[in-house]
Amino acid sequence: MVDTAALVRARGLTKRFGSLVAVDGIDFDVAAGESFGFLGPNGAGKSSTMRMIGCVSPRDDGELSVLDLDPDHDGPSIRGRLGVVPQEDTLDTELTVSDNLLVYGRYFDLPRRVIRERTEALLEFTRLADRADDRVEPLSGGMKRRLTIARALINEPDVLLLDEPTTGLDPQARHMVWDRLYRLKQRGVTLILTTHYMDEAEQLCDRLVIMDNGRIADEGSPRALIERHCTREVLELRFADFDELDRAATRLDELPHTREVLPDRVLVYADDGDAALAAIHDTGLQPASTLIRRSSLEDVFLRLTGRSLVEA
Amino acid sequence: MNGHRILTIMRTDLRQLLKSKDFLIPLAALSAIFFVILPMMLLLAIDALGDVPTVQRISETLDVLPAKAQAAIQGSTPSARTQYALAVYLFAPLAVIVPLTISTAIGAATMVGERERGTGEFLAHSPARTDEIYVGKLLASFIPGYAATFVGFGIYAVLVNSIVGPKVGGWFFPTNDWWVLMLWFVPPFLIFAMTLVLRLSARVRSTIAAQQASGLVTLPMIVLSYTQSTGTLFGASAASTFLIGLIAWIAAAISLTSGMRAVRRSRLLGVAIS
Repeated sequence: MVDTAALVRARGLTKRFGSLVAVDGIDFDVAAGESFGFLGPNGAGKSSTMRMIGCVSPRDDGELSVLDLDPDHDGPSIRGRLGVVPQEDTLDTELTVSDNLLVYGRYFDLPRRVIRERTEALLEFTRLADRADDRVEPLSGGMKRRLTIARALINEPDVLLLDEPTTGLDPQARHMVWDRLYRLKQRGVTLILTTHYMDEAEQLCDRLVIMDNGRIADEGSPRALIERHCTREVLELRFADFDELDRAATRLDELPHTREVLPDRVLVYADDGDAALAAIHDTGLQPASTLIRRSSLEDVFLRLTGRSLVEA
Repeated sequence: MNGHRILTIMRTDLRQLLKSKDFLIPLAALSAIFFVILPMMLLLAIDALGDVPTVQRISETLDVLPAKAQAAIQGSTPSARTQYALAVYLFAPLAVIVPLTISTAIGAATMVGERERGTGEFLAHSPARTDEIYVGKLLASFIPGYAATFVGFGIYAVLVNSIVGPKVGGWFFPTNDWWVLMLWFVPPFLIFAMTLVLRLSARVRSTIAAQQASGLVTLPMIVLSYTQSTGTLFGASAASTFLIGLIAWIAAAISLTSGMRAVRRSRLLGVAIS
């Protein structure tokens, strides 16, 4: 199906590094105003895909159009309309907070007056206005991340690419970044992000693809993916030791619920967790601890790949 | 190519250099040794010795210089003529060595340094084209070396004219040939060397490797340019000076053009290497 309204469109997109196929013939479309995510573990091919979209790493095969342009021929034009938040903060630590934006703005041929106006607005937006004249070096990780986001917005991009935007941040800083990104989303900025955090994907993404070993395992909204691959609830059972866990896994075969045995616990998928737990107790099993929770994208990934995002 | 972006890249690099003590201290030390300490030691030593037999013998060796150079040497005493010759013919060709050394040190680190600091990704994602990045980086390597040489020779000129000038009839340095050297000869040699150094910097894995490889590349360049510079200062014919300079400019232009194609964005990210 061809989506003519797509800002980014990929068909059979492939990236190789020697014999390693980092991205293996993937298809996806990102529509204007959408918040689109690549969810997967490290090495799944997310960053390689983002670099191809960002026109900094050429594709080896397949088709890719970004903003209706071909990255092979229109790289500078495309990059001029993208905002990029790389995985690592690449700020100039010798400069002040505001100078980082002023200098980067010059790459886009923006008049100094415009850059100054946008710098003020962006520092206000990212809650860094009171640090405008401070050097970057002593800023906290969360502040540097927000400044990187501000810098990526200096050219008022059509698409904002975010590669693992909150990796390495503490929970408070993560929520602050999410809040700013959510506001951008509300303003209609198209976001494309990679993450290996399920909660981040659920918070920010309208639609996402789950990547594993360079391929797309499935695609959809977080809720649709959960409904497609999981039950409404998941029951987590932990046992006193590994032997008991093994025995429990065998006994659970008698029950109609789908289950997944992990090294430290057993996951039982059920629409009604309480009823499933009662049925387990009826078999005589006595888990050391139990937890009933809603299904998440972590469960979807596990069902699709047989591995958890963490161990992957 | 977009001039604004080239200047932004250049200014960003220059600003970082000017804030770096690791760059400024060796730059000052190198310039001081070549433009102040060594010339002053030699010229003041001759001043102190006067027309002793050793200085007279050194003065006689000036007879081996080309006739045009001999005719240009000023001064009525052996020591004055020796000082003049040293000031103009021995130290002035350093106009080539100093900028090459400084610019090579900067250029070797410029591309690979971006990757090592992680700032290559920022540059790679910018709208700047690779040829703009290449030229911006080249200018940021070229300017410190060239500017340091001009400043150094400014100080050198004051010193040698103060010490030797009164004995040779007044202000004598810089000579016309020196201006030709600085404006016609040095820039293409420097640009040519920088195009090679930047290519190396874009390809190697570390700054140390870039500096080692650059040393091997620039050493022959230093020897070649030093000999050609000496010829210019010895009063080579205008035609041959023009021709050699022109060849150097053409070589620099060819190397610059092909060098622009050698930079890959993925190399700035380190992707191509990893």
